[in-house]
Amino acid sequence: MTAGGAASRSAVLCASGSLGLTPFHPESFWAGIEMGPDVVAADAGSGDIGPFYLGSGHWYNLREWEEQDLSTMLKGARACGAKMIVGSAGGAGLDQAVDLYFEIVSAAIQRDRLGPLKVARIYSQVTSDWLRARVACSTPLGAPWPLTEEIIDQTSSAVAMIGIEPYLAALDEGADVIIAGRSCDDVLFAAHPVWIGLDRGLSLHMGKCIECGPLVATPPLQRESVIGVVQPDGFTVEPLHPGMRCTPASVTGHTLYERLDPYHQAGPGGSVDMSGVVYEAVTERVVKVTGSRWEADEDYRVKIEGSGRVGARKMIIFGFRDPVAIAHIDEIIEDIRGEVRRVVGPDGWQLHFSVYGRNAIMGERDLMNGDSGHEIAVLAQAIAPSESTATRIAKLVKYGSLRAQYGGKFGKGGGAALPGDEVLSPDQEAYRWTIDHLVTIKDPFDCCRLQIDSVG
Amino acid sequence: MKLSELASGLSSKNAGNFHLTFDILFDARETYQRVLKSGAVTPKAVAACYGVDPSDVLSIIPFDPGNAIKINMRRRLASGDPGETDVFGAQQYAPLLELEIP
Repeated sequence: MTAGGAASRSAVLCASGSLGLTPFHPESFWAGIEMGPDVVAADAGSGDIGPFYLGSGHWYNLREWEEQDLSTMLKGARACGAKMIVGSAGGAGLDQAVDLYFEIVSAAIQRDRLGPLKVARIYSQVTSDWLRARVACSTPLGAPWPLTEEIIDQTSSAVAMIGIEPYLAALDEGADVIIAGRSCDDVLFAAHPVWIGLDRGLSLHMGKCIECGPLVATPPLQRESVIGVVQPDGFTVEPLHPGMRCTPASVTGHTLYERLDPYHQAGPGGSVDMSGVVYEAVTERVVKVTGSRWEADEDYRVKIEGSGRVGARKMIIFGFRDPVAIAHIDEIIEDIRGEVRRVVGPDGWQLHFSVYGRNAIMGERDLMNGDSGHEIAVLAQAIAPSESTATRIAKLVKYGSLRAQYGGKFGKGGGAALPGDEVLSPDQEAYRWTIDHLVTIKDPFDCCRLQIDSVG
Repeated sequence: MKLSELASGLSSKNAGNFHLTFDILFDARETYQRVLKSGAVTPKAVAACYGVDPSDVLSIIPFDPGNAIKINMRRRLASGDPGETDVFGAQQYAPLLELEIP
């Protein structure tokens, strides 16, 4: 945008494939800093972590590890004069995590006397009123239901996955550090290359390649840094640990990763067409990619992620070693359900049984159903609006597993093996994805707010 | 032969919160082409591995640049839903290991 023209190269160092998840290794990171990158960046979030963190606002990572990663990134960035960019703060990208990261970064700037620095915050949490006003311009993405008032009422929190424009605006404002809420993974890495005028398709594809850090290389050693360099005719990807290599196979393999279409990457405002892309080895450990093309859409559409509370959750784990009990596990489970219905009532609660050793991992999609192991474990999860009801159900499950009657039962004992007699009480309540939709907006800033402060 | 004897990599993962994507990787171009030409990787054959309807197999996409085949399905339950047991979709590929390739 504004800085374009002179610069014809942007080097982006991805410090970690997932900021704060566990601390990244400093050796390969500092090797990257030696190369004088223009940007030090990391993605902190993912939908993979499930709906719980978004809906509940629980912290996904340990604060000490987030502090460690953010402080190291900041030191490295200042050592080489690079911008620092972090997206999807805190895992789910909620506003509270943007503020937490701002607080951590501000403290590090002051402690290490790195200021004054311009620190940009981009918030992308959206309210239920915001959503209600946009029901008419929404369309389902992954969710198989339309966005309705009812769905919005069932949603505890929602975020917009922002595109590149808010990042470009922060760079226009002279930001040294950008901390953003929920963002498309690729845009936080592509922002600087695009800002200095490099091709948007190449820059976004580079971002997609390095956003998971070491996963683009082989072997994918965890918590190591990688660097992507965009130039006018293509981009290169290079791992920074000497024991790792990027090969055409490792880069194409990662191009497939976590997406339905390996030839197109859709995002706000358009998509990257990768159908004509060529991946070639420059050296034994560096790959060059050419031919990624940006195709603009007429509409500007952002993905909204929303999560809603289902209820309090209590758990019981019980196991069987008796082959007769294993053979009758469905009967035992049905017996327990019947007792819960009798005591708690016919509805208003959920009770999920996962039979490990049989089909817990795949459910009815596991066709080896009959082939149980010689022992099984059953995870029972009781979910109800109140904690007390969930506890009542869990206690009924426990008692039922001990007292279940089934065909051919030996003797008077024969109840389930329990790892403990107590009801398990996870801190985490049950949530579900309520919103996974695209919303058409007129302006990329309709779904986010930019704030810039001078720190230090 | 079984697919597990021909593929160099087979994985499953979330593609968003409501879909699963399976990536089958081959070391050699010839092996990749042999599997493609065998006609054994079809929605019907994949659906049979999971006991689902062939229409539940959303797409099967050959990816020449990576000697890879991508298969997409809807998730049984959305990731992290109550009762869902594979939040990353990481273990859902196992039945494909047994897929017969003539």
